[in-house]
Amino acid sequence: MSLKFNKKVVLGLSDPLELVSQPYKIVAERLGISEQRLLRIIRKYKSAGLIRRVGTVLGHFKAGYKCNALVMWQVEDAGLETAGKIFAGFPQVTHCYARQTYPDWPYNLYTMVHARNKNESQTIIKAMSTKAGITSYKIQFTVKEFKKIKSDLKEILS
Amino acid sequence: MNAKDKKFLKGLQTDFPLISRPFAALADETGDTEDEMLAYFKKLKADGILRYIATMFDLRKLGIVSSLIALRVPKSKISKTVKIINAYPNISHNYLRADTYNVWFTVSAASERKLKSILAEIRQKSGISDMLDLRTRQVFKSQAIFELK
Repeated sequence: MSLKFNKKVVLGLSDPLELVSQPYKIVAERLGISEQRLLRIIRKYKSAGLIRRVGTVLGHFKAGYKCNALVMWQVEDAGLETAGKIFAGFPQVTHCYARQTYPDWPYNLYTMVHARNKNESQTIIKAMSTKAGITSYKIQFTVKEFKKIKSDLKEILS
Repeated sequence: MNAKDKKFLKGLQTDFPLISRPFAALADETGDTEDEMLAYFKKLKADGILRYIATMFDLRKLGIVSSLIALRVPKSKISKTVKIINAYPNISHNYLRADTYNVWFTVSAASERKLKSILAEIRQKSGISDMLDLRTRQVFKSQAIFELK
C-alpha cells in the first residue's frame, strides 16, 4: 500500500536540514522547485503519513540515556494488538514492532527501552509487563554498539 | 544538557517548524535573534546533544521492506562478521548482545528480493549460517523520542 510519492523529493529531504536561516530553501533549490512548493509537499506527505515527522534527533548517549535494552515478548496472537499499543504508550519505548516467529523462537513483539541505567530499565520493563499482563519475555541489554546511523534512503531506494 | 536545552528540544523532536525561516520563529519565542538561535543549535550539535534535524519517513509507506536479524557468531569471528555487516548502507543499526544469538542488526531494502540477496551475501561472506530473520509484521511505534525530565 505504497502511496504515490516523488522519489526525487523524498531523496532530497533525506539529508539532514542545514543549520541556516532558510534550510528548506537549500533543499528546494537542489530540487529545482520553490521553497513554498517544497513546504507544501512536506505538509502533504506529513498528513498522508509518508513523513512521520520533521524534528530534532538527539544524541541519546549524551542526553543521559545510556542504557538501551531490546525486550522481546511472547504474546498470544489475540492480544498482540492490545499489547503493542500499551507498550507504544510508554515514553521510554522508542520502537515497538510485531515480528515473525519460528518454532524455536516464540517472541513476536519487540520493544526498544531506553533508560539512564539498568535499574531504571528493569523498573520500566516490569511496569510494561504488569500493565500488559505479559510475563514471558527476554531482556537483552546492549553490550556494544557496532553501528548506528540514519537509514540511508539514497542507497536503499537506488 | 541544561534546563533550557531540555525544555527547548522536547517539542522540537516532533514539530520542527515547517516554515521558511524556522530558526527565526524559534528565536521569537525565546526573545533571541535568529543568529543567536542558529549559534545555539550549532553549539548543541558541536556538543553532541543534537545529532541532526531530519525528515523521518514511514519506510513501509515508501515500499521499503525491513527486518531485524539475529546471528549466532562464535567469538573469534565477531570482528570479521561485523565488518562485513557494517559495510552495507542498508544496515542502520548493529549491536552486540549477550544472548546465544549475539549479533543483532536492522536491515532495509527497496524490495524483498534485494533484502534476501543482502542476507545471502552476509551468510556467504561470513560463513555464519545460524540466522534469525525476524521480519517486521507491524509497527506500533517507531520514533526516537524521549521524555526529557
